Amino acid sequence: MQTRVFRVTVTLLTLIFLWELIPRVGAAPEYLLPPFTKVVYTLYTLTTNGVLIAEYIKTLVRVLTGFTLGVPTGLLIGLSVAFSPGFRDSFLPVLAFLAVIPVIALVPLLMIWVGMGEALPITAVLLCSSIPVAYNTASGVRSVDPEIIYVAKTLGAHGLKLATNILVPQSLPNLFSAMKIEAAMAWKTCFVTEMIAMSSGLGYFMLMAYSLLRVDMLLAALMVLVASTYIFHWSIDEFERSLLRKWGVFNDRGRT
Amino acid sequence: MTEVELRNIENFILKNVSLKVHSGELTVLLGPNGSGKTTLLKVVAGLIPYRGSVLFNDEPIDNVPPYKRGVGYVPQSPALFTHLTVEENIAFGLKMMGLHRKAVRIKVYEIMDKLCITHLKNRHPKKLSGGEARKVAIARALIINPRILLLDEPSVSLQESSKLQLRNEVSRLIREENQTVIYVTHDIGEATKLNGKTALLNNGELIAVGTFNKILPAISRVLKTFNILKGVITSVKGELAKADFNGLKILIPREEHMEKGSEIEAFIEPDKILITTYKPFPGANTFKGVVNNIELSNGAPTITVSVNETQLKVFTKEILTTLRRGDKVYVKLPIRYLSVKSATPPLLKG
Repeated sequence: MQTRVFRVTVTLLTLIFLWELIPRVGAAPEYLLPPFTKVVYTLYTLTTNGVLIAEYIKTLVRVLTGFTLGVPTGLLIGLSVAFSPGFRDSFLPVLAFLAVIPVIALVPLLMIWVGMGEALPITAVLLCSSIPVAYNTASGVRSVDPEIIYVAKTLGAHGLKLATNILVPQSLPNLFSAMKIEAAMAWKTCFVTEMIAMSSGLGYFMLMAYSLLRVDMLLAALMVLVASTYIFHWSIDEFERSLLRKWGVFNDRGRT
Repeated sequence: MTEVELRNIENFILKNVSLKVHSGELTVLLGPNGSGKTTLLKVVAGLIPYRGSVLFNDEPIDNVPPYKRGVGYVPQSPALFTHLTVEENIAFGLKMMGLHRKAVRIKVYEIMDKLCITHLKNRHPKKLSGGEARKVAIARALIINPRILLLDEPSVSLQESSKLQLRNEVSRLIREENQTVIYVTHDIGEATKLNGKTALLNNGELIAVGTFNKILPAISRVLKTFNILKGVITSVKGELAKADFNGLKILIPREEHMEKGSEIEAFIEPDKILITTYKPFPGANTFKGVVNNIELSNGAPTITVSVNETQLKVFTKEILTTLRRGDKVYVKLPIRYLSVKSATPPLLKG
């Protein structure tokens, strides 16, 4: 563990050192590649003067709203699709089909349907988190051992009770893997939507920085995006891990 | 207690099966793999579609969904809820009824105590042994006070000691709690040891119903690849006994009531007998014999070996290519694969 942390640290420091060195020695012009320290300084100024924070909070609220609305929606759709075999056969392929559409490609369409307001990025995030979750829940329910469902039925579980007590917990591993993929996707989608159609948010901020040719601002915003996506992914991972710990060795999918 | 009757049950496997399971009785459902044993259990539980009628105490329950039938179902894979602990697994049925937490706890502890699994209560199903998981599954089924308990191959992949424990537990349930039980098995050795009414199923048809001894001819006809030896015990020593089967002296596992002079029947599956042409196997129960017949019907080659007067059926894949009729061979009947049963059973209690 310690050697692993050490190795990662060494790699990162080397890369940062190179980043600092290349513009400093004149190998690349500073307006194209500002040195690391300068980017950090820009990040510091933008944070302390509140410009970046204001935009960041807007993006964060959009992502979180879309995601927290999208996951339960997807769960609900997935469960209802999986509930009866007839429903499953008719809708699971449709879900699989919808799940492969990149939501970014839907943004122009959503601009017309939803309008250019605050609802637009939220809808986009909602779509990109709910459909994959729905598909994975449905296929997760389908892969639950039928004997487990049989036993639960003989013990008096049916309908909603069966869904909440057996089907959802049993298909959680599927649900979480979908959520983790969508966590990164949610940020990207929100970002692109802001670039195309919004006049606020981190995506809009980057577009402004571009028009000013401020590479340092662009890189600073990029750092914030990367950190946010990473933290988001990490917290879902931790949540899953705590559930796994609570429920013992839940599935055989290897974890290190 | 509940008497269960099946009337003219038909579906994709079962062909016009009618069977009465008396209340507080053990019914052993015996048959080869794919004969429809599990399907029959699922029909009783209402888990799969069927034509015909299932009656509980003379009342048809065909329109009653599985969650209202009050049937205790223990599938072959114990199918424990992997996201719940042992205690939560057992409590599941009561939780579904909406019972108060305290009442649930009392009942769960009571049943865990009876089955001696209280020490497992906080474990997760993945961390249980086969025998433990089976017990938990049975406890989970029993907690709802089922009208009938359905056990699907409960002893498969268990060790001999766990099998014995399980059989004792089942007989206790019948004796003390008047529980109606259907016990599915494909293992004749197992069926001989369960004192119950035996129903023989083959290709979805009910061939015979009665005590094991009474329907033994039908059993050996259906499961034709199966060796039955009749003999007399000549000496006993601890957990073993020596018996004379028509001049063939075999060491057998001894059951409690077997004494010198007891008439017994021994059973062994053809694939459990070892056979070789080279030199005798080490240990007991190795005999010299002659290959009498080699049958290559439907992909399952059966070798018949004569040892003295006795014909033994043997399955083997390894030495088939070299074996001819009349060859001298050595066969070994491993003690642990021999099932023994009194030919004249002691009076059953209860």
